[in-house]
Amino acid sequence: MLQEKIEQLVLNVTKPARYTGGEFGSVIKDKSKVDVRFAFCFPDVYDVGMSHLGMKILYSLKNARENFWCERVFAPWPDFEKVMRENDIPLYGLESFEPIKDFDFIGFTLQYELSYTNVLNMLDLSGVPVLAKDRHELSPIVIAGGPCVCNPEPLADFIDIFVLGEGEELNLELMDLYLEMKKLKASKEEFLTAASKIEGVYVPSFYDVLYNDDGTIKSVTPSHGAPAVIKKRIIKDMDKVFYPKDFVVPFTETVHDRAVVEVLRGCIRGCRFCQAGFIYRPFREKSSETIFEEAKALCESTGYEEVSLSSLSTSDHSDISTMLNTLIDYTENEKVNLSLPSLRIDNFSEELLEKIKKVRKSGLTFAPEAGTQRMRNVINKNVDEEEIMSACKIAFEGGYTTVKLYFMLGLPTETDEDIVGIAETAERIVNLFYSMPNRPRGKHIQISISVATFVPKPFTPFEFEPQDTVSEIERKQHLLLSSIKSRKNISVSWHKVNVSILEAALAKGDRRIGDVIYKAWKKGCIFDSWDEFYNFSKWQESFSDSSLTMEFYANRKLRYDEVFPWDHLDYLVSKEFFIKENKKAKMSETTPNCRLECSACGVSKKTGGACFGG
Amino acid sequence: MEDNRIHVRAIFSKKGRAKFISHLDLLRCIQRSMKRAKLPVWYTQGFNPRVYLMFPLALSLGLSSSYEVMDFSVTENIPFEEIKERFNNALPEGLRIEKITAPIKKHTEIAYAEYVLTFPDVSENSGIKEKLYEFLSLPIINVEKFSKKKGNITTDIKNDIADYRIFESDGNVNLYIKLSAGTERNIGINTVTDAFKKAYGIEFFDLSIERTKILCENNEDFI
Repeated sequence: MLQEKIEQLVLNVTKPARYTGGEFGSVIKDKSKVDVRFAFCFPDVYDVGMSHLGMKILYSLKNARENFWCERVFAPWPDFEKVMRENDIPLYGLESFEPIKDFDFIGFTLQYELSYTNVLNMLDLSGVPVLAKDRHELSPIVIAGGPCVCNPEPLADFIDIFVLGEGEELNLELMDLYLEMKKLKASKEEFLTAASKIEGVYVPSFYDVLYNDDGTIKSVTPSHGAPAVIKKRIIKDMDKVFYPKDFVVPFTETVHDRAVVEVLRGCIRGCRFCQAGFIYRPFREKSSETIFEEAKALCESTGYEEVSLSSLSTSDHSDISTMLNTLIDYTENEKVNLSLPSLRIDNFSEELLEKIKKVRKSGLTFAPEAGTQRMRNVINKNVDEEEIMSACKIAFEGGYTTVKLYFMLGLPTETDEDIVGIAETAERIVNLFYSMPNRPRGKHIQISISVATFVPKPFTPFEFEPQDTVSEIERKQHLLLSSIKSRKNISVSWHKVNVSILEAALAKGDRRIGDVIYKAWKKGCIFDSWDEFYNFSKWQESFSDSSLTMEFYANRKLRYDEVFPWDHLDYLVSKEFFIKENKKAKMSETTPNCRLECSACGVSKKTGGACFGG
Repeated sequence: MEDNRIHVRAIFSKKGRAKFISHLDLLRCIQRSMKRAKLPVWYTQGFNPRVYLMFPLALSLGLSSSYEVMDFSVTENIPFEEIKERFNNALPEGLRIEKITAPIKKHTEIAYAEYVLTFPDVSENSGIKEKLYEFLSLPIINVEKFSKKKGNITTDIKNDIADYRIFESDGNVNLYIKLSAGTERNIGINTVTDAFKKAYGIEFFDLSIERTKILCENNEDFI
């Protein structure tokens, strides 16, 4: 039996609990009573995948259906992968310990581009052909969803179906259709043809892509009666949408090991670099009562000692005071920690801070993203320096002495002045701290600046923009470092530059990149998001082996009238809006948030209603 | 504070897949199970209140046990039988409360732990019985031990093996062994198996180890 074999071997690898299942809340079913089996694959290690909220939602949703069984699958860490390959252990579901190649669906969630080689590796470990065209049977159908699916073209060769947008309804519709057609002994092609009629379903093999001589796309033509444009799915009512009443509670520590309640979807802010801010529109929130009920139910069923609120911007909830009041009362009483990420600084009031102060927290995190007001206007991060300073002042008075600041380097129109501005912002916070007579006594201020390299992403006003070259980013990093005077109080950290260029190339890539990913994987690239495994030179070789360059995808300015690889996908926000926003960015003009004024991004027109539910 | 809490000792087993739960993970798992069971457990009274939970003798990752001990306190007078039932309903597969009792012995009274090792009847394990007899009859059994203070030290564990018996069941070879345990002198079973493997240059195939008892100096159960 596979399970016995695994249990014998697993003590020789790190964190065996990643591979042995049996966690509280994991769903075991009698397979003779199950019609459709789904392997939910997260293309990263257990500790990362088990922290992902989307997986928890869809796992519970599918398992709530008596005749469906959804199991969890993660990428084995390389030490266990070696054991698996040496002992002929195929990739298995953590619930049944059965090979996922025998399941009906193998579904991946694509959260970041650097997980793509793990998708290929997991298919290969399953014993399933990696290329979609080599899989002829009805099952397993390989599907993928998640934010990266807004430009899934680099994975078009490997995936049978991409599911666009929110999955709560779409997944069940797809599984129902599959069951119906399996009973009729349909072929894979018959199933895919029928599936392509469901809104939100994108069958890449039904689209023929032609290229111009300059490497840009000439046309994308559908066949099999598939729609010319595929529209993403959204859930209308957040108070009625399925939300799990229990989670699988892992034994081994994971990145986020706590109860999580989703507060709202979408974002009203419109920061021009932020893909999430556009692809998850429209803005929809759960009521404070729903949030409270869901938090309580989850805390009780899981026994977690911490609960967090999840959203792109929790403080934009229209009823945040009620929400925090009820949650803080409940969690204090139950000795549960309430963790609050994603608080925007521009509505960080004294009143709110008082409430948050009641909740244990070690530090403060702000994301000004840019060092000068001009630059912040370009990216539409509508925060001014005064607001940052007043938020810090309140925080210092409240006893905080550590501040974490997030910035980006390489933003469109960025000058050296903007980079020096990052250092100056941090210096001003240091000065503010020491100028305050009522600052925490006997303590020093510690500011950590975390700098990310700007990666232009599809479905943002900056999708047209080139990324800075590696050498330019390195120059800017040195400039920033040399601009910092208070070395004792300010520390700077950043990601490897040559990771960001690959991220950009994969994010904006077309179908030809599929061959590059395949070659990189064959050369041994896996876990690319982990520094210890990332191998830039192998990726460079793979690009040149395919007669492509990373620079074409990452460092080229795209024309407004160009056909983009993702143009046949409709994420509700119009390309005209992105062009308009791009032009405004160049003139340092800001756009108000959606609550202040509708800027006609196209979402409300397409969903046939106002974004705020009335 | 001391007066309004009731000290409780739980004897529990950790079997099957639960043997893959490390000690640190077990602590978290137990705390969450207590919360799910809505047990009125006592929290430490500091700035950062935590569930009061004590394990007198940690169990290494990969070992099963039919006799583990943990101490905690409750703030309400509820029958031990009810604690046991509610706790068991909230525990994951493989963990089971066998008994809830008032603590009788002190942690410092722990003197021995007993283990049963099972070497399955497979060709890779042939001759294991003879090797075990030979190994355990040696006049001196030196092992490498790592100590935080002294670094790697060599120590003779012959006197720490208080008792042993080699027997067969269902064609498998079994070793019952009783080792020093507790605050005075603590010898983990892995120390013995590692020394055995090293002495003969062998690897075991699918060895399973179960802790079966924790005992005091006078051979009474630690309870």
